Parts: sequence; structure tokens; C-alpha cells
Amino acid sequence: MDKSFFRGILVLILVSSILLLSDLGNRNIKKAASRASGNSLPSGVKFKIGMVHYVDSPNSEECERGVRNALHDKHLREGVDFTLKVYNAEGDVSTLNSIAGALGNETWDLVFAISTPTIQLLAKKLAHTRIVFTNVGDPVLAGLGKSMEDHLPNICGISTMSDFDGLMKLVHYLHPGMKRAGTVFTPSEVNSVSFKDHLAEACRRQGIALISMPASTATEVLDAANTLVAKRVDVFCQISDNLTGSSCSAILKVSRDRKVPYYGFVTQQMKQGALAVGGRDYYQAGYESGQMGIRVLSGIAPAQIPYRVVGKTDYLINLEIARFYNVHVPDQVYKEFPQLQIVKQ
Amino acid sequence: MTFLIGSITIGLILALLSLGIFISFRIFNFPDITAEGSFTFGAAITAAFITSGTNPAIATILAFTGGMLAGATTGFIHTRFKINPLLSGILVMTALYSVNLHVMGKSNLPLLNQRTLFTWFGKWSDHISGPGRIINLIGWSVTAADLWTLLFCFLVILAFSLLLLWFFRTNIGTAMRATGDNDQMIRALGVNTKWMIIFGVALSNGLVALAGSMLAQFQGFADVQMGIGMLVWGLASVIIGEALISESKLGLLVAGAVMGAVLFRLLVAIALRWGMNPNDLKLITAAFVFLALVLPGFMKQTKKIKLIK
Amino acid sequence: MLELSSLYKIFNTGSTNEVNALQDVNLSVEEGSFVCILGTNGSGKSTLLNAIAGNFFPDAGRVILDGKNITKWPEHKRACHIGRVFQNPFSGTAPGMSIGENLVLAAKRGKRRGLGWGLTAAMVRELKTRVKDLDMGLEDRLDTPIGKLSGGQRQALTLLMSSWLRPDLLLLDEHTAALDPTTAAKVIELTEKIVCGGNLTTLMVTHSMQQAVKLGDRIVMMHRGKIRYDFRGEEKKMMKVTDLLFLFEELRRKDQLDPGA
Repeated sequence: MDKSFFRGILVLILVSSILLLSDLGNRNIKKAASRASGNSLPSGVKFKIGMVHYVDSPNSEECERGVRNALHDKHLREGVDFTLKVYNAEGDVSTLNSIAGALGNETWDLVFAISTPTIQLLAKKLAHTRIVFTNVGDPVLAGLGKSMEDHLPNICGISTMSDFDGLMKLVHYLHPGMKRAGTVFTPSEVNSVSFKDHLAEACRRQGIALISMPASTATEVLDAANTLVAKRVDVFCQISDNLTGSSCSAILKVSRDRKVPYYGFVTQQMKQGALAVGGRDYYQAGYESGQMGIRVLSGIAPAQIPYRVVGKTDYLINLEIARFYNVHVPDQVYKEFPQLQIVKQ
Repeated sequence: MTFLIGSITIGLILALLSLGIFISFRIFNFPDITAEGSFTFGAAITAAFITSGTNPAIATILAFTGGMLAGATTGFIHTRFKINPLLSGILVMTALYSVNLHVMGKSNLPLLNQRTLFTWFGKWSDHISGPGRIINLIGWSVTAADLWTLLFCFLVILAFSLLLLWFFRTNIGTAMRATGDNDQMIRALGVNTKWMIIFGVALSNGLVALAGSMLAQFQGFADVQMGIGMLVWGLASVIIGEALISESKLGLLVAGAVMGAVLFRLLVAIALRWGMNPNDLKLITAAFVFLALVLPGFMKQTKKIKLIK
Repeated sequence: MLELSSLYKIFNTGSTNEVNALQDVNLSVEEGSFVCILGTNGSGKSTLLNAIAGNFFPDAGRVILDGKNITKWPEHKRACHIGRVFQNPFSGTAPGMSIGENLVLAAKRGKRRGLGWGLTAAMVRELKTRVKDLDMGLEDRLDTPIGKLSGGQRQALTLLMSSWLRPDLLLLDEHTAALDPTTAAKVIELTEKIVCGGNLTTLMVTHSMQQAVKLGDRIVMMHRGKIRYDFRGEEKKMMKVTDLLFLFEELRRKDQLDPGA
């Protein structure tokens, strides 16, 4: 044993003490395990709520808006009845890890996890915190439970699995002779692969083939879209994941320039030039998860709340854009899809 | 306190990575980039085997073997085809990205409900201290489970450190160290330096893969992007360790590598705790490493000045 | 013991740097003979030693050691039979490792190295005894890293290491050239002790004509890749430094008259 060895140990102890010092606030705190049970929120309590985004995308923003409105509609005021701290991992896994570490150091009444990578990490790292997720495509596939009812005890949330059969039915009505649909997908996102497979199934049921191209960065999305056109797809049926969601404008540009109609699963894409969408309403998903969160805050254990798919799908169509693509909309479509809304850009 | 325990635990797991980098960079003078790929490779192998029902101990050993294969490939490419060590490492690391995707089948493999080394140890330790037990540690509440996990990781890293120290004092281990120190001499003493380098880089990557395997089991998932930035992390740990322990005895150097890994993790934890934006993590890493490189020399200078006065 | 027949080596063939390092070199060395190799700059002295040791393969010709044709053997395989001391005092020892560890490596030259413990108590005893012979006080400092020793001490240790297990052939490549005169003298004294004491077959390349005259039983002089002069026995014993100088002048004059020779 040498002098420098002990010096090293001393430095480690010193640094550990500094870290502990910063934790003095949590000393001798009994974790707030007991809250009023029932359907009413305890009054006079300021809830400490956290929210973690994986990436900046329109879907994530809509979810956050939904959560905030849900809280607002229950007469909870920010700064008075609750504090909300929002984190964003900017799509980087190591940043997500660091955020989880930072969260783990404080006690939270509730944490909202937006998107699959977020909930996967937080479920493991914050095993004693109550978490509500949203914008998760397939909770069971992500490892969050054996089924939607039998799931991890400290988590509950809203799934945003798209309605593939619904949209494919609509697309087939609009393009009766079509053979091939195309989509870009992201192999490095678990949901993306799952959605692509579900979409392929839905296409098969309509007698259509699905051509899919992989991408891993925003630049590759553009290349993939062009390749799909080169492979002579009749339409784009673009699944929604973190990468293609934030890069959808690239695909829409290709769609416009090459005159290949674009159908999507995200309602915001109507503004960017989609012909029609069958979108899970991400705002709605956020709102419903906010409502779930309020139930958790009023004392119901997450284990008792089953995972749920968001209850609302919006079908939207833009007739002007349909004309631009020379797509005829037969009257039968309105009969089959009574909830179809016509929008103008 | 839980944060501290968690940081030290991860620091100890990553100390395996630090040891691996120490072997290739310091003992063999071989700048080995393969680590970024073999770290994920170890995690991928373990996750794939555990989710298909294999015994976690076997899955972990397989990860170590996989890492050794990756390292041997790098060493082979370098010695047989005379390709620059950096390039050899880059080649294998790039190839491993695709290999990892194949092994995992997808980019992210959750291990939330699987048997891992940690759940095993947890079950055993629950017998001793009772499940869900909470301990009061100088005023802070910590779960007994967290403390047991810390002990487990500490024992693992201790075992490997001692194993390495023993190995590097055997005849073959001494010859390996000489290969990195003066390869002309050791060849003149009858050692086939080509095989030594291959074995050395293999051993180094075996340890790195083991670190990846254990981290995946600890954090509950394996992700194909886990290895990114890990090389820098390992190098920083080794360098900080050397700044702490400025001797050249092998035993102390190994201890330094381990301590550097833990210290580095703690420093990052402190920076995060004091409200640093997690997005600035890489910048802070660079700053720490820079300080670790510059401070020892600076302190020697001030000592000299004092002596002269 | 050593037989070199028709060795040829050209470096950088075809380029402007082309060098005929060895041209049809033939040499036969008996067991126990101590040969000093002299030559002008670029005469191929060091190249000859490197060819014997295996740093490269000759373009043509054969190297036969103790009856074995080692021409195609890789360097580390030949090392089982050959001990080397280099000109650079830093080349022969591992600076990051201790004296004891370096010697242990030498003690296992050519043998299979396994998982046996390196510095066993028995080995340490043996090390101490033999290091004491150096008379440098190093036997009590076996734990010191080599990097802390002076050039002379390192060279002395390299000499000891190269001859620890009696080699079939000892190659000394200007091993005192980088040392100051006093240290060089000590190392030469040591060289004599080891070579004569063990009756080792030795090839010593040197720039110093004093050394060539004083040591050994044979002088070989090289010039431009060929062996020009070879003195043995009585003839060698009677050579003086002035005689050698005269021969060097002869060679240079011949060059000026006929540069292509």
C-alpha cells in the first residue's frame, strides 16, 4: 500500500461528501407514501410533477399541451397547486440517462414520461416513483407489462398505437386499383418496426403490398422517400415515429414534387400537405394521460389503472389537395367514414 | 444518499471498462477504438441470451467471450495485414454496429422482467436482510437492496482487479507487459509479439464487453447506441486515475484506473446535481479530462518553485 | 557455428534511395570465436547483424547457425539461440518494468512462458547472485524501474540479459558507441569478462579501432556491402591501430579511383 493509494481514497471520500452535502435536503424525509385515498385531491398540497420528453417533435408538444390542459381543467394552477419541471433529452440516450439520474435524486409526486425510450428508462431507474406515460406506441412490446391490464405496478398510461386498418381502408377506397404503398421507418426505434409490421398486415388485408425503407438520420429520411418513389409506390402511408415524425416535411416535399399522394397517422400533417390522415389525437392522448395522472395524485394506485389506447381517432381529408393529386373522392367514402372531416389548408 | 450509492455503483461497473482501456492503451500502447463497439456487443449478447431464457451467468460469460473475439479480430487485422491500430479498431467497431443490431434483433431490448445477475443476487440478499428493508445511513434512508447491489459490484471489480494483477506477474503476463513497453527487446528474447498483441487487445475488449453486459443488466435494457461515447468515458477514467496516482507500480496503476472511474462518475453527478444542463455533459467531460491532464504537471511545477525558493 | 553464404540485400529497390547493403557476403565463424567487425559508414556492418538476427530476410543467400538453416526463421524464433545488445541503451531493456522483471524475461528467453509466477523466491535469489557480478550495486535495487537507470547501467544489464542463458551466438552492435568513455570502458571490461568467461561465439560491430585491436581473435573489415579484409590468429594479434587506419585510407582511395567498385 502506498501513499498515493490512500490519497486516492481520500479524494473519493471528499468528493462523495460533497455530493452528500448537496443532498442534505432529503435527509430524514419520510417518503410521502400515504395520501388521501379516493377520488378527491388533497387540498393545500403543492404537487411536485416532472415531465420528460425524448425528442422535440409536434407529437410530443401536443402531448404536453394536453397534459397541461387536463391539469388546468381540474382547476390546478401551476405555481400554486403544482410545480412542473420539464426535461428534454434531445434524442440522445446518454442525456436521457443523465436526466433519469437527476430525477432520481429528488422526490416526485408524479412524473410524465413522453415516448417509449423515456418510459423504458424511467421505469427501471425510478422504480419507486409513480409514472404516467403517453405517446407510447406499444406498451407491452416495450416491456412495460405482460398485458394492458397486468402491468408494472408504479406505471400507467395511454398508448398511441395508430389505427392502421382504418386508414388503409380509407386509402383503398380512394385508390381502388393501387398495388403498393410506401413508408419510411426507423430500425433503431422499437415502435417504428412494430408499426411497420402492423401496417404491412393491414395492407395485406386490403390486398396491397407495403414497401418500406429504413432511415436513421434526418438526411436519410429524404433519401428513403426518394427511393420509395423510384420503387414506384402508388401512395405514401407514412407511419409515425420519433424520427419520421420530426422529419415528415422532407417526405411531404417529395410527395408534392413527385406527385405521390401522402397519407399519414398524425393530424398535424394535414397542415403540411397530407391528403388525408387517420390520426390518433396526440393532444387527446396527452389530455387523457393528464386525467390519469390526476387520478393517481388523488390516491389511486397506478397498478389499478389499466393501460389504454387513446379513445379518439380523427379522420381528416383535404379536397383541394386531393384535386392536386388527381384523386377522386367517391361518395361511398363519406358513407363508410361518417366521422370524416373535410379541412382546408 | 441514494444518488451517491447509485453513482458509485455505476462507477464500479464502468471500472471494468476503465480496466479494459487501461490494458490496451497503457500496457500495450495500442490505441484501441474497438471499445465503443465491443461495449454494446457485450450488452447485446447478454440481453439476447437472457431474453431467450439463458442463465444470466452464462449470458455474461458469453458476453466476455464475444468481446475477446472482437478484440482478437482487431489485433489480427493489425498484425497480419499491418493496418494502423487506430484504423483496425475503427473497422471492427463499424462492423460491430450491424452485428449488434442482428444480435439484438432490434435496436432496444428491454430486460425489465428478466432474470439477471442483479435479480439473482437480490433474491439471495433479500433472504439475509428481508425484502423491502430500508436502512438508515447517517440520517438518510437507503434501501438495503441498493446497498447489496453496491457490494456486489464492488466484489466483482475487486475480483477482476486481483485476477489481473496476478496474471500480469506471471511469466506470460510479464512478457505481455514488455511487449507494450519495448517490443524490439521482447522479440529479441524470443516472444512472438504478434500473438501477444492479439491476446492483449482481446483481453481488453473482453473486459469492456463485460462492463457493457453488466450495465445492461443493471439499467434494465440494452440499446444499440449504448457504446457511443464510452471510449471517451473510459479514457477519461484512466487519465483521472493517473492524475490521482502518479506512481508506475502495476498494482497502483490498476487501483488508479478503478478509482478514476468512480471519481469521474461522482464528479459528473455533482455537476448534474448543481443544475448543470444534462445536454452539456460532454462539454463538462472534456473540461474534467483537460484538468486531469494539466493539474499534475502544474502541481509538480509549483513544488519545484517552492523547493528552489 | 555460424555460416553465411552469398548473402545479398538491397533496400528500396528501384527508387533513388536504392542501397546495395550486402553484396555476396560469405563468412564462417567457429565456435568460441570473438570477431570484431569494422567498416566505413554505410558498409553494411549493422545490416549484417540484422540479417543474422532476423530483422529482415535476405534477398539471396543462406544463414546457418549451429548446423540449422535459419534463413527463413522469424526474429523471435531465432532469438532462442541468439543474444543481442543494441547501440541504443534504451533498446535492450523495458523502461516501465523493474530490473528484476527484465531479468526474469531474459531468464526465460526462448522457453515457453506459462502462468507460472515470474519472480519466485528462487528466481530472485538467482538474480541477486548474478547481478552482484556486475559490481554495480544493482543487486539491492531489483525493484527499481529500469527507466531510472543511466545509459551505462542499462547497457550493462542488457549485456547480462543477452547472455543469461548461454546463447549460441552473441551479437553486439556498437554497444558502447552511445556511452561516455569511462562508462564505455566499464562495459567493454564486462563484455570481455562475459564473452571470455563463457567462451561465447561473438560478433561485435564497432567504430573503435582500439577496441578492435584489443579484443577478440579476429577482425573483419567491410566496405560497401562486401568483406574486404579478414585477419585471424597471429596476424590479428599483431595488428595495430595505425595498420587499420592505413587500410581504411586504401579503401577510400580505391573508391575515388573507381567509384563503381
